[in-house]
Amino acid sequence: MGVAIPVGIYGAAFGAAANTAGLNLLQTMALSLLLFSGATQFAIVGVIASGGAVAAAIITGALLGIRNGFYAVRIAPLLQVRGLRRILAAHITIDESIAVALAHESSDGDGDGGGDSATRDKKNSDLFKGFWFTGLGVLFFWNLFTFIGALGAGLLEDPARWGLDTAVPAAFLALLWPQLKNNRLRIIALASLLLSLALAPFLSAGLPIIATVLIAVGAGWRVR
Amino acid sequence: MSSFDIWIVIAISSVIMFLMRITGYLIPQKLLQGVRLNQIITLIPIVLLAALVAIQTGTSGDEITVDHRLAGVAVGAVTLYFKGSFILVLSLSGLTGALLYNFL
Repeated sequence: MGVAIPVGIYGAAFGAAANTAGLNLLQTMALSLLLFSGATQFAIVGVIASGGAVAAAIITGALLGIRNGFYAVRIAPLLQVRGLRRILAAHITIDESIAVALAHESSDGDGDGGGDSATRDKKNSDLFKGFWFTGLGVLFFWNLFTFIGALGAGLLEDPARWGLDTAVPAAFLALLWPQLKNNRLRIIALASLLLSLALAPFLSAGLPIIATVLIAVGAGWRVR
Repeated sequence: MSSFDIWIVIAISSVIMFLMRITGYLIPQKLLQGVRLNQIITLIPIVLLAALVAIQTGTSGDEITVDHRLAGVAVGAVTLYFKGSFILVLSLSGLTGALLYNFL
């Protein structure tokens, strides 16, 4: 819950942004409940607010959302979910749930487990809890605050005044931090940071982020 | 965009998002068991989160910008270095960002 509440509060900024862009309350809530991915939701209402076309809104949103598909590939073998639970797990596959879960991964990031089996079981259960509590917690608070934000849109018209535009990347940095367990991983993160910034002026929204997958491919290629 | 158009965007985007997510869970894990592929997949959350931090801190639209957000996120990084809690990181960086934005 330590992550879910502060992140959820940012939902108020989304509610306000959606309201300002001309979405009604039902449409705003539909995005937070059914689409449920912060960056994508902001991108979509951003395109709508700037008078963009239907296709532009959909494509921009999808480009920012592909990230969740990659996360799903990463987390699926660790969670081992089946049936209906898999549908719910998919829906709450977001930056926060993945980051909190991976902070409890039972190894130094090479995927083959570390320590004795008791430690490993404990860590797996923490990973499981981290994923579900964070994912469902953010789902709940994100929607609650979207609702509040949409109703009180006037107050939050400029999220920067309240430091929200700064707290959000800081939150993602805090989620990334525990994953940077050695210098190799720190260098990979730094390279991704620089590549996305270098590409930002030339590629449309979302692509500079996806492009860093190339760094993961390059760095992971050599079998160690 | 008309209200109907907005509903179209919401419906299609939600379906696309769900398909992208569920695909990750449905890919047979046998296909993903190679050492090389495993190493790559392990790195993906790290590169994506790092990029997300960079884009949300240092860009406005397609322009590189240096503003209150960079200062606030830097304060967040220092807080993380000294093992500050998640909520402390958010509070200090948000406060820094808000102060600079409102009073500079």
